[in-house]
Amino acid sequence: MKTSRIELDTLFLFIVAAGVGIALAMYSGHRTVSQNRITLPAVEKPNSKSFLIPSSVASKPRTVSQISPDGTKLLSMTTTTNADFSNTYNVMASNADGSNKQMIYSGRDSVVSHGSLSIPFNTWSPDDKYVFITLASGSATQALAMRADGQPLGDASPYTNVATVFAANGPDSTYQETTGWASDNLLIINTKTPSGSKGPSYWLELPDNSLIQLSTQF
Amino acid sequence: MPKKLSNQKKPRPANSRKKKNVLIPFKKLIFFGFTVLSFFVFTNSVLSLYIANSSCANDGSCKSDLSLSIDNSAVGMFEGKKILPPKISQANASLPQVLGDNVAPGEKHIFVDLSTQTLTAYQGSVLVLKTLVATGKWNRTPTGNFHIWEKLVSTRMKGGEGADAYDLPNVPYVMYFHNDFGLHGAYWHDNFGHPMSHGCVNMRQIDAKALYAWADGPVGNTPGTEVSICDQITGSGQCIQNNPIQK
Repeated sequence: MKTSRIELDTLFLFIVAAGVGIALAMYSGHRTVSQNRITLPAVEKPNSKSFLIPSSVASKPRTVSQISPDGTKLLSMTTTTNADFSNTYNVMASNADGSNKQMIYSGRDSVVSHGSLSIPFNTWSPDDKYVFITLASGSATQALAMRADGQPLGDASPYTNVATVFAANGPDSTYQETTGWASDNLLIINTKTPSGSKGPSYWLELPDNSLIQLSTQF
Repeated sequence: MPKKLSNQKKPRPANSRKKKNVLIPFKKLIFFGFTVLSFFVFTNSVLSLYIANSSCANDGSCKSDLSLSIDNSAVGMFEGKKILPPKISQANASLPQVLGDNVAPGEKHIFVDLSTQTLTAYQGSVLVLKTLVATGKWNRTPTGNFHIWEKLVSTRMKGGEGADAYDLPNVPYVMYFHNDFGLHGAYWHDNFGHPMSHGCVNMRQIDAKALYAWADGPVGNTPGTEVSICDQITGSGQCIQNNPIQK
């Protein structure tokens, strides 16, 4: 009689434990494999019209700009295509309202070394003291960092070519891109290894141009 | 010649009673195994729930302080560098709305695409803001559908240890959507479009300011503006969330 009672108790606990275990496992599993899908609103698009692009070589100056993250400064670049197909770039920093305009870079590319200069989204340093612009040429993109007040950097040069500094001082990995600013004077550099995989990330500290290898890849 | 005993009762061995109950220890062993398994699964589930629902973006401030904090004399620290935070005024709490001011009233919804580090905000079916953000690098930004549960014009965020310690006063335009995970302005870096946060959604101050003025916090029983964090938003406009936080 006593044995039978023990067997019944054992069986009952066995079933309860198995039930709880399976239920919890199912709940836990449900949480880890679940996937939600939500549909975004269908965006209302304005009526679009197509335009013919004029074929004349010399064009009106084209201006693009990027406001600083705090909304107080503006970096603008005016591009003019010349009669010989070259482009002239004028990069200016100013207050957000356009006042206190300061020319900080001016350059002209030729047909032979044609590149594309642009202002990246993260161009401004957090304290608005530095900016960097990018120059895409072929498959490579260089970054030129400079002071936003038009003054030369510490070594009296008007700007720092990040890729050149990296090539001169960097280790085995190859410069790939400059993504933005880690802090007021630290540019974030991503690299790739000789095998083509993602390499370590670096900080380039301005105005000293010192490189700091990071343990984290950005 | 021994006598055949086939029709006779076999003498009962002294230990026959024990042999009959040999299954009981075996069942106890199985029971013990299942109990251990159940305990393991239960603990795992509780821990998963805890991590999913109670985790922090900023381990130094998420439990102690999720309140308004303005300290215009403090110096911040991030990545081992001292940082001067922006000056904040309480008047910043009531900003003029610039987003969607010419748009018909409609349900407000914020989407964050972790794969492209992009935030989009809709009023009805009208896109009122699209910008690059910086989401979780050191902690994962939780995916799921949330509502803004608190809006603070400024707060202090602390966390990390050693070289990774950070202390950031005057973090502007904070919109918490899950525990202390929030959308907010970031003045200490400019690396938007790349993961760079401890789990929050970092925005340029200028974008956070506009979003803060536009988005709604909870009022009475009405929840705040919905925030959907997506692993990916497909080309057809599907927000895909893997392992979302279940509310």
